[in-house]
Amino acid sequence: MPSQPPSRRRARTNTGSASKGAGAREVPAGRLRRLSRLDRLGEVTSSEIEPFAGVLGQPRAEAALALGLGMQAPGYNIFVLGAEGTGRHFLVRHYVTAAAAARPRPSDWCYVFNFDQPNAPRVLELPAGRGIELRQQMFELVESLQAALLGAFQSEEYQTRKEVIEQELRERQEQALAELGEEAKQRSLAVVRTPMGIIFAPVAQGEVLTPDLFEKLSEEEKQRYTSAIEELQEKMQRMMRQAPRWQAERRGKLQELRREVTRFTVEPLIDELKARYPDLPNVRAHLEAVQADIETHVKAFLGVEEGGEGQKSPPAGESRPATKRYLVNLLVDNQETEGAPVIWEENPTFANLVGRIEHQAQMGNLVTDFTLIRAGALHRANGGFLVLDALRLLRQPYGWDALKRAIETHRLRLESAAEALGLAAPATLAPEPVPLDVKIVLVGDRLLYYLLTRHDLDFHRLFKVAADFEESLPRTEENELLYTRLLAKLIRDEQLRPFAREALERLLEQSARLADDGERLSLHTGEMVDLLREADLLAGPEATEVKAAAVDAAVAAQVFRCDRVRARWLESVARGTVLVETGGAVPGQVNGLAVVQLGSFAFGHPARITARVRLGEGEVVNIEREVELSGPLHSKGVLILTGFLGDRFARERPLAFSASLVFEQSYGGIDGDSASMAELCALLSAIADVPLRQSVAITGSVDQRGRAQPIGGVNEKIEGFFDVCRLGGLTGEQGVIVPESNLEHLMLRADVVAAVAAGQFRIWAARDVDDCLEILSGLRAGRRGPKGEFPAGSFNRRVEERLSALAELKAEQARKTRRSPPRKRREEAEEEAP
Amino acid sequence: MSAPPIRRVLVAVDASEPSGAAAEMAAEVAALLEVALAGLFVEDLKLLELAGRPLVRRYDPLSAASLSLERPVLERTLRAQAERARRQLAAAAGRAGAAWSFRSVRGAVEREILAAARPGDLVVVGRVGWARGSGAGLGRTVHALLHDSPEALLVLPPKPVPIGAVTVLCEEVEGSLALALATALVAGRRWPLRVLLPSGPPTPAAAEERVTRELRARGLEAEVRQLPRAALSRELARSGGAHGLLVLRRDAIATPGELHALLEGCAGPVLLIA
Repeated sequence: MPSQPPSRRRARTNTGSASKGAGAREVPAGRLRRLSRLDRLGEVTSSEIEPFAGVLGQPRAEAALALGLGMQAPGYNIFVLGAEGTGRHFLVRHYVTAAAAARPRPSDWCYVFNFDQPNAPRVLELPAGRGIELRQQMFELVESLQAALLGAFQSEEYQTRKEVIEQELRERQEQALAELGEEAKQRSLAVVRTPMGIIFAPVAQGEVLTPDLFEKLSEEEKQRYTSAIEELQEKMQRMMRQAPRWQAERRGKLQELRREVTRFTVEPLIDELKARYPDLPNVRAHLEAVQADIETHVKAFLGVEEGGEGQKSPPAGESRPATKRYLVNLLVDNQETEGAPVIWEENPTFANLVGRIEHQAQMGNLVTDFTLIRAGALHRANGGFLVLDALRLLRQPYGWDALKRAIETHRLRLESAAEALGLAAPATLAPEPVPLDVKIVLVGDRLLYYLLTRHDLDFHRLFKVAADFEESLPRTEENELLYTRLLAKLIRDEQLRPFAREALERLLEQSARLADDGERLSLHTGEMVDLLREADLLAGPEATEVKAAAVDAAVAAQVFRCDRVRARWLESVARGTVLVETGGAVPGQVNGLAVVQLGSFAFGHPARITARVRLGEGEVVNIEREVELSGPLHSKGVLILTGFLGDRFARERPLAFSASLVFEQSYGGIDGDSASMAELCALLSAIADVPLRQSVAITGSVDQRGRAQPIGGVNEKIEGFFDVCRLGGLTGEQGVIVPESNLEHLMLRADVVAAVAAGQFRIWAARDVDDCLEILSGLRAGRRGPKGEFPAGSFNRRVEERLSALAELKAEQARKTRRSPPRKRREEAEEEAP
Repeated sequence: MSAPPIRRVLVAVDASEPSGAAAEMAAEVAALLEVALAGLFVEDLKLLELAGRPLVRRYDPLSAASLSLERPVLERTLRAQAERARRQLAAAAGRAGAAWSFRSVRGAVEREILAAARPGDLVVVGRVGWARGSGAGLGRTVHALLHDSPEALLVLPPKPVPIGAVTVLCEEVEGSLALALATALVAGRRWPLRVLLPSGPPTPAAAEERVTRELRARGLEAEVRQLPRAALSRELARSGGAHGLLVLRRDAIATPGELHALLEGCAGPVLLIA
C-alpha cells in the first residue's frame, strides 16, 4: 500500500462529495504560533508604561453591575458568574465600593428587653451613631439608679415609713393577741407563743395544771376550763384567719410605698434621658417602659431585701443579672461607617449570616437573654451590600434558604437552624425581626449559576442580574496594548522588578496560550500574576529587570511542576509498555489524539484507534460504550459515523457489514467527539483494507457529511504527538492533521514551531474526511462522477467496492437460506400446528 | 487598742426568721474577728413539759386548726427546727467564710446558753424570740443574759437592718475593749466609725485628738467626739435609733432600766462589753 504523503501543492482531480476545497493544506511554521510584537512602544520596560487603571474586557459584566447596584427595586440582586482569577472580586469591590459611597449611612440597630413579652426582645432603630450613645446612657442610668435607689431605700424617711407600716401590723396582731391573752388570763388560761403555733394552757396559781392537779379539780371547774378554751378557741381562730388579710394589706402598703419612692428617684433621670431623644418615639416609649418596670421590680436594684445591703457589686463593666434587662444590646453600630456598609462574609454559615443567640452555662443549665443576641452579616450589611461566595454559601447547611427568606421577606428573623427547619428546639428567644434592605452580590462560577437557574425556582426572581465575566478578549493590536498596560499595573501592584519589552511580549503570548486561542488573550489575571511573580523570582537577585528568558523559565517551571504524569506516560511509550507507532502503515489503525486534564495542567497524547470489519447488518460497535467507558459525546460521535457511511455509500443498498471500534490500551473513560474523524478514517481504512500512515496523527470531529469540525485542546494534542515522535527521532514525515477551523487556535510551543520550520515535523489543516484520507493513505479520496461512480483506484472507490462485495455475499447467503430451509425448522413448524 | 480578746462567737439559734438573721450577723462578725463560730440550739424543756398537760391546745399557724400538744410531735418538731437552724448557720458561715460548729441541747434556754458560753465568747442573741413574736421589749433570754453578763453580748433587733455605721462609746482612752472590737469590725467592712468620748475625768482633755491620731496610724478615719455625760446619753439614743451598730461597755449605762430602754429603742444591733 502506498504510504507516501500527498504533495502539499497537489490539487485533487476529483474532490469528495463533502469537500469543495482544494484538499488539505500544510500549515507553515509562521501560522503555528502568533507572536506578539510591541516594537511600537520602543525599548521600554513595564515601569515606563502607563498602568491600566480600569477593568479590561468586561463591558458586559460592568453594565450588569451598574444596573444591579443602581436598581432599588426588589429582586435586583446580583450573581457574578465567571471563572476564578478573571478579576471578579476586583470588579465587584470597585463597583460596590463606589455605590456604597454614594448611599447614606444606615441606621444603628439595638435589641432591648421586651417588658410585655420577655422572650421576644424588641428591636430599636436609631440614627447612625446614636445606638452607642443610648447603650452608654442606659448603662450609666442603671449604675446611677443602683446608687440612688439604694440611698433612697436606706434613707431614714423610707425606713421610718416602712417601720410605721410594719408597726401597724405588729400592733394589730399584738393587740388582738393581747386582748385574747387578757381574756384568757381572766379565765385562768395562759397563751404561749411557740414555734408550733399559739398554745392555750389552763393555769392555776401561775403554773400550768399538771394531770394530777387537773384530776383533783371538781367537775364544775373542769367544765369551766373546757368552756373557756372552747370560747377562746373560736376567737383565736377568727383572729388567725384575719392574719393573711392583714399581711396582704401590709404588702400592698409597702408596695405602694416602694413605687412612690422609686418613681420619685427614677422619674427625673428617665425624663432627662427622654429629653435627649425628642425625635425618636420608639426610644421614648422604651424609656417609659423601663421606668414602669423599675417601679415594679425595684428589688432588682436593691438585692434580696430592700433596705438591705444589696448584692455584692459585680465586676467592673458588668451589671447585676437582675438589672441587665435595662441595658441595650447594640447589634449594629454604624458610628464609624462611611456611606453604606459593604460586608464580605468569608464564612457564610447559617449563624454568620443571620446572627445567633448565644447561651451561657448557669448552674448546669444553658440560659440566654437579649444581651446575648449577636449580629450576622445580614445585620451588618443592612442598608448596604453583602458580598458572598456562592459555593461557600451553598456548602453551608441552611445558609442559602435563610438568605433567600431574608431577602424575600425584607425581614431578618433570628432563629436557630433547628427552628428554621421546624424541628423542636430548646426554649429560647424569639427576637422581633429587623427590617432588611440589603443588596446581595453572589460571586460564583457559571455552572453554579446555571444549576441554580434550573433547579431553584426562587433564584431568578431574587437574583435578576447576572454579571457574566468574559474569560478572554480578542487579540487585536489595541487590546494587546491595553493588556500590556494591565500587566504593567499588576507588576507595580505586586512590587516586582520592571519587565523588559520582550518579556512582556512573551507574557502576551502566554496569555493567548492560556486562552487556548492564538487570537484571544486570557483574562485570567490570577494566573498571569502567578507567572509574573515566578518570573521575577527566576530572574535572579542581581537582575534589575525581568527578561524574556525568565518568563520562559517560569512557564517551563510551571509545566515541569505539573507534568509528572505526562513524563511517566512518555516513559511508558519509550519502554514499549504503551504501544504507539509513529512510522509505517497499517490498515484499520490510526493515531487519534486525546487530552488529559490534571487540575490546571493539560497534556495531549496519541491513542491508537483500531477498526475491524466483518459481514453484518450495518452496525458500528463502539467497544468503549459496550463496557461503559464511553461518555455520551463520544458515543454520539461514533453513531454519526454510521450516518456518514449510510449517506455516502448506502443510499441504494443496505450496509452489509458490522464494524467494531476501540481505543487501544485505554483503561479510563473517554468522552468528547474530537476523535470521531480519526475513528472514521480507521473504519474506512478497515473497510477498504487500505493501510494508513502511522506517522500522522489526526484530531477533529466529523459531521454526517464528513466535514471536519473544530475541537478543543488542539495545541496540547499536537504537542503530545510531537513529544512521542521526538522520542524515536523526528523524521520529517511525522505530523498532525487538524481541522482547518482550528488554525486560529494554534499557539504551539516554540520547539514544535522550530521543528516545523526545520522540516522535521508537519501540520496539516483538513476541511473534511477526504482531506484526511488522502494524507493518511496517499491515495486520492475520489469523488463520484457523472455516472455516480468513484474514480478507479481512489480511496472511496475501494471502500465502495468492498461494501458491494460484502452486500453481494450477504444477498447470496439470504438466497441460500430461502431456497433450502433447514429440515429442523420445517419439523418444528409442523409440531406447532394444531 | 490591742486585738480584742474574743476567741469565739456563740450564737443562739432557734430557726425563727430573726434567728436566721442572727446567724448571718454572727457569721460575719466571726469572719471579721477571724474566730470560730459556734451555734447553739436549745430544745426548750418548759415547752416540752407542756405536752401532755390536760386541756392544752395548740393552734396551727398555717391552718388555724386546734390541735392537742403531743410530746412525740413536739420533739419531732424541735428536732426539725434544730436541723433547719444548723443549715442556716452552715449557709451563713459558708458565705462569710467562717469556721463553724453546731450543738443542740435540751434544757432551759437561758441556762443552756450561759452554760455553753466560755471565757472569751461573744454571745449573739436576738432581742426577742418565739415567745414574744415580733413585739417590742426584751425577751426572757436577753433579760437573763444581761443579768448574768457574759464578756461580750451582741443583741440583735427583731428585724435585720443594714449596718450603716459603727458608733462606739469609749470610756477609757487606753485599752478600750469596745474600741478594739469596733475597729476590728470596721477595718473589715469600711463602715463609718464614730467614737464618743465622755468629757471630764477620768478621760483626759486631749483624748479626742489622741484617739483620732491613733486610729489614723492604723489607717482608719473616724469621727471622734468628746461630749458631756448628759449629751452622751442623748447621742447614744440617737445613734441607736439609726441603723448602726452600737458598741459600749455595759456599765457605761447607769441603771438596768436605762440599759433596757436603750436596747428596746435601738433599731440596730448593740454590742455590750462586760
